[in-house]
Amino acid sequence: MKARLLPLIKKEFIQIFRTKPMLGFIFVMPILQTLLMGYAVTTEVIHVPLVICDQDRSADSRHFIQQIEQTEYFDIIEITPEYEKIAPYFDNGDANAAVVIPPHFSRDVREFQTPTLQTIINGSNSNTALVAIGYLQGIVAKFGQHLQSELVNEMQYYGSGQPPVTIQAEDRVWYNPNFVNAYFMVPAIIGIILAFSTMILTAINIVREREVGTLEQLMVSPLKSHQIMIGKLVPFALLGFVEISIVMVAGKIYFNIPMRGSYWLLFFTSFLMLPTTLGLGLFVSTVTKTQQQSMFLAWFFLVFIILMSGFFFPIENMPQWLQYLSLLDPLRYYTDCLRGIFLKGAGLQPLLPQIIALGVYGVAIISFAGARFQKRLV
Amino acid sequence: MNEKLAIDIREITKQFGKFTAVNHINFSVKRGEIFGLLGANGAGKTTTIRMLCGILLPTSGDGTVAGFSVMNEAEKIKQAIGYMSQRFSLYSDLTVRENLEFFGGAYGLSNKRLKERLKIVSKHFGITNFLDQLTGSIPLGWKQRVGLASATIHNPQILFLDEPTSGVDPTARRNFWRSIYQLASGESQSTVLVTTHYLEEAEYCDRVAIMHQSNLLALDTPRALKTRFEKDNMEDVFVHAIREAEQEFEG
Amino acid sequence: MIRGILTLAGKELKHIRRDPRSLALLFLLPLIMMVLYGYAINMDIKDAKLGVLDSDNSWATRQVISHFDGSEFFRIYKHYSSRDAVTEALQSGAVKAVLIFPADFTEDIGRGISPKMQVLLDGSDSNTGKIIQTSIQQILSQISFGPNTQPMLFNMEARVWYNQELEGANFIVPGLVAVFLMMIAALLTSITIAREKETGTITQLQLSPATPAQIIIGKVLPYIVLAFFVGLFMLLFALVYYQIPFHGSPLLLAGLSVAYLFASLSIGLLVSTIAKTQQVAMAGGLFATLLPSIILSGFIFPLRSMPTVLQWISTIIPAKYFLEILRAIMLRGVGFTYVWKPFVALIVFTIIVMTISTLRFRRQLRR
Repeated sequence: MKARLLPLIKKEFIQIFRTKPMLGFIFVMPILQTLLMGYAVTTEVIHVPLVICDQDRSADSRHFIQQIEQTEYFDIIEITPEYEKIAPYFDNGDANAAVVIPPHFSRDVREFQTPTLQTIINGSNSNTALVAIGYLQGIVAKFGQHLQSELVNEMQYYGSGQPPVTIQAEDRVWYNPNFVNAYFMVPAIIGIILAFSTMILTAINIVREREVGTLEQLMVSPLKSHQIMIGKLVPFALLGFVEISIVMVAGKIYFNIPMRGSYWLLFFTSFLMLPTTLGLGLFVSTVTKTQQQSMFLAWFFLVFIILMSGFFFPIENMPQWLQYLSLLDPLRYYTDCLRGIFLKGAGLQPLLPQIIALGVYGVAIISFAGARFQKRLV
Repeated sequence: MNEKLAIDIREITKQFGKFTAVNHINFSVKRGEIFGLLGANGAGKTTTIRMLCGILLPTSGDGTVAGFSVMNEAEKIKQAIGYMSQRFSLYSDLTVRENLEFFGGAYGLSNKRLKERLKIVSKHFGITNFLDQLTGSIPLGWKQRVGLASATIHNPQILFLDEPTSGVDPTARRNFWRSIYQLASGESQSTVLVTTHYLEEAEYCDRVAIMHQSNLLALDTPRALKTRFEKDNMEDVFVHAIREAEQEFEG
Repeated sequence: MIRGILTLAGKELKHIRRDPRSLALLFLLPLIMMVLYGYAINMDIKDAKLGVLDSDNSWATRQVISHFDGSEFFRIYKHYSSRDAVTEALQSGAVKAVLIFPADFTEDIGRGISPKMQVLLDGSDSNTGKIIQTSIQQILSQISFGPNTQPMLFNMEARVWYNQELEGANFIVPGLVAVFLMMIAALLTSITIAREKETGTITQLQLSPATPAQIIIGKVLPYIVLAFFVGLFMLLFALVYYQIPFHGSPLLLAGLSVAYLFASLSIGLLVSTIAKTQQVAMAGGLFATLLPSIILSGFIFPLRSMPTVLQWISTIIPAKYFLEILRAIMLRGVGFTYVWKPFVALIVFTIIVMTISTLRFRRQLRR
């Protein structure tokens, strides 16, 4: 019976390689995506344009301004004593943050009048706003310490009694000490690319054959429906592995992504993952009639499973009901495995729940889609 | 159910929900016969062929194709038959050779046998010059021949052809029928079941069945049909048979 | 001229109406997406799981731990008893960080020196990892053991302009509208021309007296209207469901949206002239619109944090400009004088891409 399957697989490959845009898609896109995600996708907040309204113009305010200049978090675009100048910058979208140092700030501090230092943040982007506020708080805290020591020197100010004891904490960051964004993104990209190509290409491919009429020809032949299925899915599975390798190589070259785990485990989990997305692609092909519809539906599934996978956005931050929903997402488990294997050097033990989940889903989805595929043939 | 009969069906019916596509059809086809299924679009020809090919399950009735039951032994039927659809169902981004190799392989031909058969059918259908061209780029008449070649590469006993001459010029059509004759009368003694709505082609068949709105109206040799309906060409026979049936329905 | 365009537009409309499944998907999918994404995209940390390895187990360590337990950012998940257990916990992703207290923690406090501790962080999630690190540091820096605390020398007051509650949805959802609109518009148009090529009806178009420009405009017109309604639908949904504020002028937004629609459609057209089959058209259309729109438009990821090269590339992404316009009008309520720049950018973009598409199409028809 293998003699019959091989011509089918061979035909698929001939067709794939003969379509130049498809080739570009399969081989070039992973590289582009890797680069794009690795470099661009970051929630790091830097170069925030900042306006300083310095109404005090003292040595202290100058020191504060210097402190801000020294960080790369903020870019000072204007220093002005006029408060009214701030709003236009915000309205134009040219500034996202402002600091207002009130008049007589320096003097008020020394007279224990507790003046108020004001910071203004553009709240439109709430994510970066919070981070920016955090940075400003940090800078202000340091400024406060600076003022403390100044007062100690100037006025022999010791406060009252024995200074309290603070904690000395040592931070150790594991797996990614510099919080390199690419380390986080690139291993997960493997999952995205795999899902994308296996699902969408499979769905479109099968629907296309149905539209053109060649699927009927296959049905009439003695090829069994499971053989037709395998013949369709295997080439895309193989291509999936090729893409995994491309991403790994690109990741290594451009971002020096470490690989601390075992390659065998990586390929094993990928092997478990493939039936899930291939099965979904197969399923889409059984419920849509035209290529356009299959595209929309496949895209819909794809976006959903990417969203729920924890690729971009942490699952822990989502509302509870969404978190439960994400348990249905095979890509979630695969992403965990990918990051675990690449960055953490995790072995079978810590990843066992994920692996089992993948296996179960794979079997379930393929069986379900396969049953539908079969029915439609008869 | 006679083994000498290539096709033998009794009371075959297909219903899609409330709609009856094929209504209690009976006929049989002998080995080596060229059997024509005539009818307008929507008469039920394609549905009938699909049931005979084993890709559609009849709602009721039974029959054999190549000695295998249409109800239970669909897989065995597929081994023994060849099929060509209206659209020729070829892969346009594969060369002619690749299409032939693929279909031959799908039918389980060994490498050696495949090479032999490929040579034979390409010579037979005169497509040797086209072997390495992309199937999508050759003219329609030649595509038809490639379609026939693919359908016969595994030397099937029975050939099902669904509107094989759609959109092809008269000369090509004549050549096509010549090939059919050769297949039927040659050493392979293939049985051929053809559906068509080109009524003059009915003259080429050994026997003809006329279908209209899911029913089988008449079945006989072209000559006998002309005598029965007192017409001298198949087109008039057809029109008359339809009108008669419609009058019966109303009456 | 106009009649020719309307005829072609009418034909295109029939195509659309005959495919109700696609139409349903067209309206339904963005809706579902907006619900999911609106809730899901949240980068603030909340209930991040912490582990504890406490070798001291005293009032002091419990006090520190309670600071974390009480914070809405963290949650103490488990107390571990060994380094190995901690390692496995971090590897499996069960906790994001572990607080490690040495046995002499309280002793040091008694002696008046700073007690030491260790914080192990999972850095694999570079986004939240950093935030978690900073948050932990902040919480720890506010803890002191001692009889007195220093008085504050000054206050810091943080004011938020626009989007006072820092509601994440107000930021994300307009972006969603922009991204989906672009994608739908581009996808729809990218298929039309490719479909004609694939089914062969393009020959009929070649034979008709219509000029290439007429054909393109005629094809695009129904989709603009369609996409406009889809966009309207999405926006209304956003306003109602998420209660996104709308401080500016709806008319202004509507007018500027048309420019954006044209820009998106023009991309679809360009893809369509390049692609030979529908398959390729769709894949290309998706690729050309979805990814860049999401990543390089400033939708979620701040443009200023990206390498300069990417910031340059973002200047040719229409979604970037539309996003500026959307947020400016919806959240800041500004008038035309503040948004004319992105508006002009969109128009220029459309003109260039449309011209290229028309030229390509003309060449293809003449062949």
